[in-house]
Amino acid sequence: MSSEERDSLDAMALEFIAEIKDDLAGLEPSLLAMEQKGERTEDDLINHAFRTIHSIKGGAGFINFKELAGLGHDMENVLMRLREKTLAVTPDVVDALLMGFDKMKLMVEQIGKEGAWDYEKEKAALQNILNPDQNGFEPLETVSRIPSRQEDSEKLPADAYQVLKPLGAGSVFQGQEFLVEKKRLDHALAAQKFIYAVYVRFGTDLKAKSKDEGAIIDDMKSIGDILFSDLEESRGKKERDGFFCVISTILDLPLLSQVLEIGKTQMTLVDRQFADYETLMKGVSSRAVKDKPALKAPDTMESSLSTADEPPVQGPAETLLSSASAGQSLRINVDLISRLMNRAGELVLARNQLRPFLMSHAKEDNLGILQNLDMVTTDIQEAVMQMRMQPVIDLMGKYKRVVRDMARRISKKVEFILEGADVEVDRTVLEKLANPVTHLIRNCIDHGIEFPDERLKRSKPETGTIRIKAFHQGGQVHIRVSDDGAGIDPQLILSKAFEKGLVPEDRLDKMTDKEKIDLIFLPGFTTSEEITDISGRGVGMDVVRTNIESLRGHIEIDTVKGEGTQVHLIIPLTLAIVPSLIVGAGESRFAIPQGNIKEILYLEKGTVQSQVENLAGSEVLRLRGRIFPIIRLRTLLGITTYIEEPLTGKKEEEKRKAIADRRQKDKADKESKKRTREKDRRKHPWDSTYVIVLKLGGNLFGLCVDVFYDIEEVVVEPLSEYINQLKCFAGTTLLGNGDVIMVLDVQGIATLSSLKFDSIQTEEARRNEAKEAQAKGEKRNLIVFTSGKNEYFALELKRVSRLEPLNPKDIHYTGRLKHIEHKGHAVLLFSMDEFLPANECDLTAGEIFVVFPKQISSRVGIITSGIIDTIETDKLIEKDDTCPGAVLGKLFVDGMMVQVLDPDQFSNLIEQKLRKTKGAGLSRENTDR
Amino acid sequence: MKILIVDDKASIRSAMKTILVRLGLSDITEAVDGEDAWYRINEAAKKGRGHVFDLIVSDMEMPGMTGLELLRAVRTRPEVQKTPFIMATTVTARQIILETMRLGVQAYIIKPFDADMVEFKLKQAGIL
Repeated sequence: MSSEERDSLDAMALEFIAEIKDDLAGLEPSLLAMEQKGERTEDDLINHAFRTIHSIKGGAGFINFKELAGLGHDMENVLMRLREKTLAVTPDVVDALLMGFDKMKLMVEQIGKEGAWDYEKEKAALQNILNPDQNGFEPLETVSRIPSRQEDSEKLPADAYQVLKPLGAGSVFQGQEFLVEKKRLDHALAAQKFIYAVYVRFGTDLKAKSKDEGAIIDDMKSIGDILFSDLEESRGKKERDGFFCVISTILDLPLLSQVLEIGKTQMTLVDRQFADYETLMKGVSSRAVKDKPALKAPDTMESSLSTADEPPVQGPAETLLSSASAGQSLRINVDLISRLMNRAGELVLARNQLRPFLMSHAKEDNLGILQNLDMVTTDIQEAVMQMRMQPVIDLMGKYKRVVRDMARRISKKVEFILEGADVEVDRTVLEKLANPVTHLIRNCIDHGIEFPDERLKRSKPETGTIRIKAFHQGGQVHIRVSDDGAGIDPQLILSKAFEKGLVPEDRLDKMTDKEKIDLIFLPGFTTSEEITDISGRGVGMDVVRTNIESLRGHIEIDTVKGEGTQVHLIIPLTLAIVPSLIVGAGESRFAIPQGNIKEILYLEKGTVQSQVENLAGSEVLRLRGRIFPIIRLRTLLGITTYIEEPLTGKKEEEKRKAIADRRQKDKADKESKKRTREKDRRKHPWDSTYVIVLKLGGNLFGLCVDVFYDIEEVVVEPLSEYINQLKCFAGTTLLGNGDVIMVLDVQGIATLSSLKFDSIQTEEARRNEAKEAQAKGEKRNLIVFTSGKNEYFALELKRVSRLEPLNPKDIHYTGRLKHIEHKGHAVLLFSMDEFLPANECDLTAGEIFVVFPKQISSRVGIITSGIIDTIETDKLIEKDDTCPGAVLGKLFVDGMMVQVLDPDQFSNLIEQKLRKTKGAGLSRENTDR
Repeated sequence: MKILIVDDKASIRSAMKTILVRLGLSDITEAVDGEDAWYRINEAAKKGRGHVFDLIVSDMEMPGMTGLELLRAVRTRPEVQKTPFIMATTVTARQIILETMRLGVQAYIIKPFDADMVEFKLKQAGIL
């Protein structure tokens, strides 16, 4: 064999191995599904599993991997029985299959190394499932010799016959000879068929298998021609336990044996075969003996790996390129893709640099060229980006098995559901997600999902669910890992954190629930008392968070105690080429990834301070009912800006810090009028500003910049190690004009500014509630007082100006009118019974007060025989038609019936009274002394 | 001689093709499953006698249309029913073999096969 041939055969072997790996990957989910469905497993599923194992077995044969083929064969037998429905899908069966599967996986991984070839345990388990009645027809005892000269019914001349002698050493054929028609024999030989002598036993080959002779003769006719048979002769003869046939067929001996269901020892070639005897022997002899150095797996791998310099197709590190049509795929080297990616990025940059040239020399046809270039470049970039995308299921798929095994190990019942399996993520991102997601799942199983009996106690289904949902949103990948387990108790976290000295005492009661839960992310935190071998100790959520943040993503936890937990991972889709908005602050420019931008606002000059509020210690902006914090990029990054005094040309440092500085509009106008340079990019600080509204998970915040430019596609280069601890920057990039600018990291900026999204939300919610309460008017503060005995009245507190205690002795009576002196004035007093059907005011009560209602002259007061209480109520006041006009309705409070006064009506009544009194007073005064 | 190789595994098709090419048979078309094969067979038949396949080598177990079903289809369509057909498979189930033989094949090759075996079988079938 030439070295060329050897190489191509090696490559073929590698291809077979790759296909076996694919098959294995597709097999596991099927087996797991079978376990879950049990008796209800669909035929399709079983067929699929069968075909897959069949393929694996076949492939193993090709690379001469005997052990794998053998194990595959055993598994295939089990699946065959399942297919035929002579075996049911039980947990034991699936266990045995999974065990076999695991071994296969191990075997394949070990190709080329010292292998775990032994599969006795797995084989035993599989055969335990089956009854030992498959394979092979046992050789039986010898038969008595009989002459076999055929007495044939066709009378032909003697030379028309040929004597055939069996070649095999099977005892049943000892000394036998067969006469066959020459013509038919020659015909068969010409057609190059095999000629076999077969012995069929009446008992074991026919009766035991419920066959009759006719059936087996038919079968023989189906697969070839019968050149000789002594069935007629041997029937009925007691000393004969079977009959002979000579048949011609294209089938090899093993197949013949299989079809006729007769042991191989009962069949053999005869001494007349077609011309090429050598070829015959070669073609028919057992393949297992053959030595095929090129296709023997272990040796091949070693030699090809050790001698190969840079073989065109690398082995294990292969990528699957998937296209739109399912099933059309290609294997490509990862390095090649990386190379292509880099070049695509450089192409984008080169185009960006070329653009200004083309634009400045723009003519009709040039623009077309530029457009075309744009289109092609963008397309290439997108396509290359696509290449690196892998569906999430490639990582998540394996969790089904992981969850099953882990849950079983600790006697919990957990099932795993994946939503959004074909959401695609950049390959490297997916790789880096493996550890964090695995850890999250471990947590769910370990701490989240409760034991079955506990779940039942809580009226939850016995089997817990871990769900991973993946989806795209806003240019980012969202992965939500949720469970319906016990949730996280914020208090528990807080106490643990406090124990470990991670929280100072003065913060203990100032933390919101969310802040308490976020303590989980602190390094060195764990709540498990025992070190379970699943979750380990101290490897905690801080590592998960670091991993996610290294992908420029972030992580959030939502939990409800007793109901479950949800961990939300948000990661940018692409790491390299990012469409970004170029903004300017001061003299510097920055890039903000477009995916983070929700919208851009423009705050007019002078209006800034009116639109920006202060809430919970942060400056906030209100947008369509939604409130969010706002920061100034300049302030954040410490960019000094200079204001040029338009008259003197002197540059002054701008000192204003807060956005809503207390400058009035008119001053702003004054200043702006002073400026004469319209094109001055260094805008005046009290002029308008742009607010870039940024998204971060579910939160928004605004970033004030001076100006913004285009959206450009930038290739983000990582920060150099000297500055990569600066969280506000995600990287650097090169603009089309050759400038190097920083790319902002939205998460980093939020953290750096210590934006307290929660506090703001809480405060806002509180304010809204209060407003609502006021607006609805359902909550009223009422002051309840008595007039006559056991009569209660109420007036809304906000309609009361003040209350004054009254000493009855101070009342001056003029006729029926009562006055008291108050601050040098005379105040007219009325009592309730003068307006409403009420008892006379009890002036002998202990504490008498005068209630001064608002909106009525300050010279009027209501006498009460006592103030009972001030109550806050949102109780519905039943409007009663039986109520007199001034009463809004009646309220029952603490067993008292309170008549709530309608302030406006009441005021009217008082006014009327006053007018009357005036008249009366006048007349009185005339007659008074 | 136009040969059609049918197998859902690229590795098998590749192996068979290599062997056939070495035996001097280079006009080889590949089909990825039964339906694909049947489609190609029909298309070739439509074009006329000069374009039909002279030999079909097929796997048995394939998703969708199996080799047996393909064989049946071939044997029932007048224009192509005499096409030499070789089954190359690991299936040794009795019923399948019987069915296949009843429909008529020129060779029944058991996988794994190697160059010698294929050569022999092609000779036996009268193709070489």
